[in-house]
Amino acid sequence: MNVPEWVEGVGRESVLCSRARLARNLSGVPFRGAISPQEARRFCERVLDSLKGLHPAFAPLADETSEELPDLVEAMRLPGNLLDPLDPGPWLALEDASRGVLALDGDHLRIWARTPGQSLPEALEMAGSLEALVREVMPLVRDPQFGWITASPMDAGTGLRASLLLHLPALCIAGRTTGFPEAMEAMGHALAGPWGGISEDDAGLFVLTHRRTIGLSEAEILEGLEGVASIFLREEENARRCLLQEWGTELEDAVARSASLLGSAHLLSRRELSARVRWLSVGARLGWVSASQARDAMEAHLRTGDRTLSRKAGSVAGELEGNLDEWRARTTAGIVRGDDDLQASTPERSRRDDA
Amino acid sequence: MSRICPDCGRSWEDARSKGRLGCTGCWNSFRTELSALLEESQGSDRQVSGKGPVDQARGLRRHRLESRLQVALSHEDYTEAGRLRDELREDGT
Repeated sequence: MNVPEWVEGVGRESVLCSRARLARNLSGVPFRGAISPQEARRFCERVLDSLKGLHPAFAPLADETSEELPDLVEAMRLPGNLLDPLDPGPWLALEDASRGVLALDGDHLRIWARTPGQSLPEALEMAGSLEALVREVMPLVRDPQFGWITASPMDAGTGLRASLLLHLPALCIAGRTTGFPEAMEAMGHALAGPWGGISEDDAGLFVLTHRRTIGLSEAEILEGLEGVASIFLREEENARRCLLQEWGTELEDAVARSASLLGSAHLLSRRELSARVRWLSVGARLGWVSASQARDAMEAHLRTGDRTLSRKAGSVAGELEGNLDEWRARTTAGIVRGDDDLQASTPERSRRDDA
Repeated sequence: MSRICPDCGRSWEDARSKGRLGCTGCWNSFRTELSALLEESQGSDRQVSGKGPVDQARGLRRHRLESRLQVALSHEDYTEAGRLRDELREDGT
């Protein structure tokens, strides 16, 4: 699995990446939920035919039949709703490294771009450039009053959904994230976990996005989002400072334990790995461990989600009796120690080899 | 009785309860209802006309570069100011 490029910012940045997504639709084709599977399949083929020549590196990433779908969702390269068994598709994802098009995920086309760090204008420019190319080969529908019309009324107008991937480990450790979603709601924004609701298992990752999409220009939406993000960045710095002042040696101890444990644990739950990523990320910002140690831990976290491990377990049936924590520990140790064999072998096979 | 979209057969009640329309034609069929919904939920039912996303993004970036240039000049940081001026030139301004 390719690790997303934003992992490079872990241990150094609080805004890991910026994303802009433009919802666009065509006339004469029903939206997902109203379209028949046959018509949806034909539409996906039409999208592929129309768009594959736009850019040499623009290639199909996945569709509803892809085995790697859980891995792609856990690496945040595709949205989690595509795993919904009650709404299985068809859909199609095309990708060119940091930009792409998702066909029939709600809207007919969702044109997106992702850029590292806090760089929303750059992400919007990339998505907008791709949209301009798409517009040359597919007739997109715009209404004089409503602007870009969308499957959900909540996306109408600009069709823009801009978001920032925030990493706030110190705020999580200090227990200061309670009430954030409600506060964001009141400010016309939304804060969620990267895979849905906020969870302790998310390694301190959050997605910040806006609610309004109509009646504002794209630039105004980006500025509003960045203004709200600056509050989180300031609070994260404050939390880091408080942790250092109030916990001192205990904080240093937790960081050091995390650094050594990830290379040697035999069992590692998703929750514990998530906590270790947070400690190491704070430690890296304080200069106690290298940023690469925090990055390795985040990479392990992204590559050892329950769905990914379960899929791998299914592909080597009989080798793994559902002990995902054991496999997670081995994969993590392999990443942290740079040991490819350790990452590739299953726990059962390893025990047989040892015997 | 709830209005029906002639293009896809979806009723306004169905669209509203699901939070999703059936097709692009629903926007014409339910224009009044959608206007009221958008006014209530987003404070506006009208998209501002103007530049496309690429021009908006470039304008925002240019505005920021110009602000940083002013700050650099006010701090007499001429190295940074020169770098920012080059960046603005490359940006086509």
